[in-house]
Amino acid sequence: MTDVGRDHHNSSNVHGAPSSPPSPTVAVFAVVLLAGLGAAGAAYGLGDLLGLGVGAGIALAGAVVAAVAAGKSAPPDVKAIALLDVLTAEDAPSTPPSRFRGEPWASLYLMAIGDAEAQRTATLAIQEVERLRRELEQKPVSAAAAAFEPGPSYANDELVGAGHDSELSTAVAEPAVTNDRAAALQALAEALDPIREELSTIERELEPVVASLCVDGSAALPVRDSTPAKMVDALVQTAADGIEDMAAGLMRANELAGVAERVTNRATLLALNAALEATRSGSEAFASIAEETRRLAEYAREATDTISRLSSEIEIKVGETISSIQTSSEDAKAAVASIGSGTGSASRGVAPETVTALQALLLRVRTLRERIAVREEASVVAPAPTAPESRADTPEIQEEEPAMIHATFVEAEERVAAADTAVQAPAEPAEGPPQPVEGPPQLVEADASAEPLASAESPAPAEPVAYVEPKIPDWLEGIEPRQHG
Amino acid sequence: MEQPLRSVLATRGLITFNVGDARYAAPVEEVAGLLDADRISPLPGRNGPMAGVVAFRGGVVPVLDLAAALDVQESNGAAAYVIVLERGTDRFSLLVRGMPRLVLSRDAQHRDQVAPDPDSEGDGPAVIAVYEIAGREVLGLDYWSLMDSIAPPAAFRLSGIGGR
Repeated sequence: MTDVGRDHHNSSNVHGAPSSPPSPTVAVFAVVLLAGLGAAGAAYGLGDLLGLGVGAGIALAGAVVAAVAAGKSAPPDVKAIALLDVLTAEDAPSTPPSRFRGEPWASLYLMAIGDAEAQRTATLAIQEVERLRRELEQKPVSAAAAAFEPGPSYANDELVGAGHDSELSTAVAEPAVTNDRAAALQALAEALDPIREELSTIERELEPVVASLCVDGSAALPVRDSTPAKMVDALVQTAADGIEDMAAGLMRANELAGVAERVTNRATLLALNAALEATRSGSEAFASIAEETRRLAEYAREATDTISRLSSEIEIKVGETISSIQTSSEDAKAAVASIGSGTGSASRGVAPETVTALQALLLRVRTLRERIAVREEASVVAPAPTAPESRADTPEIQEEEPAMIHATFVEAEERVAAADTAVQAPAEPAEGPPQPVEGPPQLVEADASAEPLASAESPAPAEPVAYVEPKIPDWLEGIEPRQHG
Repeated sequence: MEQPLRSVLATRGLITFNVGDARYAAPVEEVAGLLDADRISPLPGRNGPMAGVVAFRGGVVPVLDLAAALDVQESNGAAAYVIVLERGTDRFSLLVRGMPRLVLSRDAQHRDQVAPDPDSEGDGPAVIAVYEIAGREVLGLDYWSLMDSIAPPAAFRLSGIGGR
């Protein structure tokens, strides 16, 4: 507002107007009065008293009329200077004075008053942002969210560009914005350090837990059959399918053994016929043939007997295996039933769903940590954008990563608490949790009051800090980022 | 007084087989061959101990189920074989269970020689010899008379089966 007034003063100086306001009405009044008085003096010299009085009255009236006429016909620059004087006053009215009403300068006055209101609103916004920044700086855990807030100088630059000639003002303030951007990135990196360390700690603690659970076999089973009863049925079905295949193969082997036995019988019959013929005829040739045939028949008989014996043994073992599988299946079903009722010792085991959830959680932690690293590298390597462009990035960071960090840790707390409850609830209280789960206390014993971001390295806040959605002032919503070529 | 085996046993050897719990034998001079029972072709209107016919050396030979002829219950599990008996041009065969065995004369002892009893005709097959093989009694039957009693040769002549 001061600038506007000063500009008008400067323009007046350029045109050579006096610095002090003139009084044209008084000057005209004085000239006309002097002219009237001169006429009255001339009449007095002639000896006419009446003419003297009339001349003096006419001079006075003419002076008044001339003064009024001179005041109404003042030059426009003089009116503008007078209006600026009113405008620059501390108690400037919201509407122009009555003497300026109906003049073109009245609209200028209204525009100037509107700009002054906008400036006051922007000043209040600056103060609000500064207050929020100070509040967030006082909370170390939420420093990441605070780092995403625009800094004070950045906000000042915004206000410089918020006027009616924002292009010129923004271009002048761009180096300062770059410095502020670097400072904000530095603050962001410093704020992300404890989060990154915490993510690494959680990842290191989750990996052995998930690995131990997978080694136990609970998660190695197919996920599609999540119910223990279905898993047992699937296991029994798989074993039964294998036994059926084995039985089919054994049946085929028995058929082949039958064929071999028939061949053996034919060979034996052939040897017997040869021996019979040799005996009947007494021929040595038939005798030798009969002897060889008999040996062949004996060899085939031994082989057939071996095959038959092995086949019988396999058949017996298959039968025993089937019986064992059936028994194991019944035992497994009974164990599953005991798990469901919470009476067995196996009920302290971890459900496959929990293991799967822990695996998904570990994956999310890794992804989040990688995203933070990538974004940090991009912030360091990429050239610093101007203020409006960086302002376009800021809402994305504010909306995605702090929310994702918060959601991840909230989900971690819920899942670990649910797993802990599921593990400890049906178990005997004296035996404690199962051995494979030996994670850190904040994972196993997590509860609603635990601090999600607390760690040994990072400074632990005294009270739990909940995620606060960054408040964006209303005056920032209508501002569009400036596009760069 | 025990006589030398070869002088007593008037055969080079014996084909022995089981029918029920008894063991029977036939001299190798009368055995033309041994066949598998799956080569038997059953006859239509089969009745009694006749099991069917079997092709042997270009001829058709009737098959007599010896267990049925002797009225002995046999187990069905054992494999069946056909023993073709031959006298000159006459042939017929016996259906037995279990693999027949060849026993040479040196391993058998002709313990008794039984003469056929004309008065006992019709009471059963005539035992014409008793052998002892490995301490077990083996009977020699008059299979031809048994066959004649069941299927007279005239029937085969009319039907053209066999050389009888």
